Amino acid sequence: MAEDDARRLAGIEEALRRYYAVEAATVETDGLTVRRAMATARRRRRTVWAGIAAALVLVVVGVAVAPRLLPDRPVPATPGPAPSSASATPTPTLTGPARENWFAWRQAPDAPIDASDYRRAAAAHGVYFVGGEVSEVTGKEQCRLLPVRYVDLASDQWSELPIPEVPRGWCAADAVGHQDDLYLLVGKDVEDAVLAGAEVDLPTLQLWSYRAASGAWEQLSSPAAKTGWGNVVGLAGGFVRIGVVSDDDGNPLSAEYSWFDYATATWHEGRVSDQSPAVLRAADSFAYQDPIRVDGRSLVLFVDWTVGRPAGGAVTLTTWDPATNQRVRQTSHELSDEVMQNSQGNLEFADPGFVLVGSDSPANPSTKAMLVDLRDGTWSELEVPDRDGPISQRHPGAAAWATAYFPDDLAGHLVANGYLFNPVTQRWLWVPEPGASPPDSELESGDASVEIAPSLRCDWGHPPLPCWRLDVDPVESIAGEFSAAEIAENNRR
Amino acid sequence: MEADVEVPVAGTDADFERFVAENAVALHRFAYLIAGDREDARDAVQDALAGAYPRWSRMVGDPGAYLRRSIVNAHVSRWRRHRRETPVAQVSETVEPGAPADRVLDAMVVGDLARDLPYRQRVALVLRYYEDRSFAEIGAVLGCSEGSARSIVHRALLDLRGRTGGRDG
Repeated sequence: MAEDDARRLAGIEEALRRYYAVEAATVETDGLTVRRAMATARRRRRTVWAGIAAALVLVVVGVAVAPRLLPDRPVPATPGPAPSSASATPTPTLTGPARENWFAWRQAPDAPIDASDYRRAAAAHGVYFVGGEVSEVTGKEQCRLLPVRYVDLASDQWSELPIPEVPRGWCAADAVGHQDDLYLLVGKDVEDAVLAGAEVDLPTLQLWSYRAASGAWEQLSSPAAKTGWGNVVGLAGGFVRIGVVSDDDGNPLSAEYSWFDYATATWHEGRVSDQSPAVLRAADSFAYQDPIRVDGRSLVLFVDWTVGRPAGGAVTLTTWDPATNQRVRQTSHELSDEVMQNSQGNLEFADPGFVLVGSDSPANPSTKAMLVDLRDGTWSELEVPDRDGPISQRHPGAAAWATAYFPDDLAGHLVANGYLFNPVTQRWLWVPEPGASPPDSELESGDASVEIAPSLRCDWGHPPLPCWRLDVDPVESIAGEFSAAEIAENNRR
Repeated sequence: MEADVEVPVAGTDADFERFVAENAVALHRFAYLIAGDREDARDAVQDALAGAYPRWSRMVGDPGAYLRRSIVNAHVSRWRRHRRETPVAQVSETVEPGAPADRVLDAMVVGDLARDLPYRQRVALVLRYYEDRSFAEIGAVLGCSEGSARSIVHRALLDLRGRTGGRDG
């Protein structure tokens, strides 16, 4: 059976290559003109500068509005039926942005990095960027660690860290931030240590930490270097790497882990206690990147999707605590074709342990999503607003940006079809989307920029990169509210 | 208010034109495979080139990666404006395992199913199986890590395996 699966995957890969080759050969460069591109670029530049002038005027005449708090609602123990209008508490109704210019882009200090060469590690008050490059030294390609950069998100100021006394490459580096510190894994590790066409000479895997308070690097104990490892998953108490041992045909045989405990600065390694097929498949497909908090516990979530015939499918969610190497919960649910198709594999997480399987984007609307409470493994169907209905006409919200921008204020909210839903309070909110592009010609399209943080966006190219900061009014003064009853009415149309 | 138009340094125009001449076909084909529509593809490439031209003199590394990223994101923007993509043919029945079919037919079935995958999966598959890109390169275009790129490709293959009658779990 496993051989059949592997053979079928290889057949699909071959079929894709043939299909793409045939399809691509039908395309010529009809209508593409370089002169038109150059002329378009010049026109855009003029248009955007006019836009800046208009924006500046708006900022000058804008009037600040006193923020309102998100009103609290009674909290049921578990999600229940949506409150009727009669049972609604007499809290103020949120009605959307209190003023027209509720957001503004302003220029921030240039970024000294080529972000495409760097990996990021979010810390408490900023973001570390760790990268490297391959260079040819005496006829041999080698990896070299680039200066580690840090941006303080309070001031948007960039700084350069002292570099550890080890030349290591990004091709085998990974980084995780914890509080204000940085943990950096460098050195030879997996098959990925050898870049295509490059013979990279690296020492075995090492762990370094950078302590922000002292400004010093320290080498810590090293984990075992094994093949088949995925990315580092940072949790509250430490970080974990998960790898898979496969047979000669590439079928997963076992999942292994290395857990670094911040408190003891030690590694714990071994086989993942849960070797269920769902966990093996998730580990093999790197579908465990998402840390999740369930009742305050920071856990790894393995996600295993199965596709039904001819439609629908199922998803199996497994929470696992690497600190104790114990499975916490495993739960599966069959999904309708609508949920399966519209979720596009999207999962949303919210405290204190909710997962929504459904679309997060207005571009991929649905009327149904599945909600699972990982505290007890219960599943329920959630009716979400059809984007073709009157709710969308009144409130064209696109809230996915807001949960990242306001992580604390919106910690309990999930994004569904572009709207915010709090499973505990059963409350729906809409939040408008700020203009996606800073008003600058370098970033005008927003298509080739890099999100350094939800509030900071930079151009993509050779440093120094022009950067812009997004300032937004408090969420309580820009969010609007609608009821589950409105959703039902909306979806009946 | 109008600022000076940034004029690329001498020689940049010629470099840009040369790059376009050498890469336009590849970019257009890449855009077509992810967009599924020649007009959309041409517009996406045109927009990407228009965005790249002003910064051409500052660009380092592979401009192709930059342009592919622009095309991918431009298509997302266009997609969102239109709310839905142009529907593609739905394959209502899966292919029975082991069903006799020549390789060309298999390729067409798989290709049609691939067009129905989520956008990022489609892009990742095109980069992987049309352009033979590494996972690191795919991650650079998609704006995600190498591991995530690997995961996206793997998930897409599993989806296709399920839809073509393979193990579904």
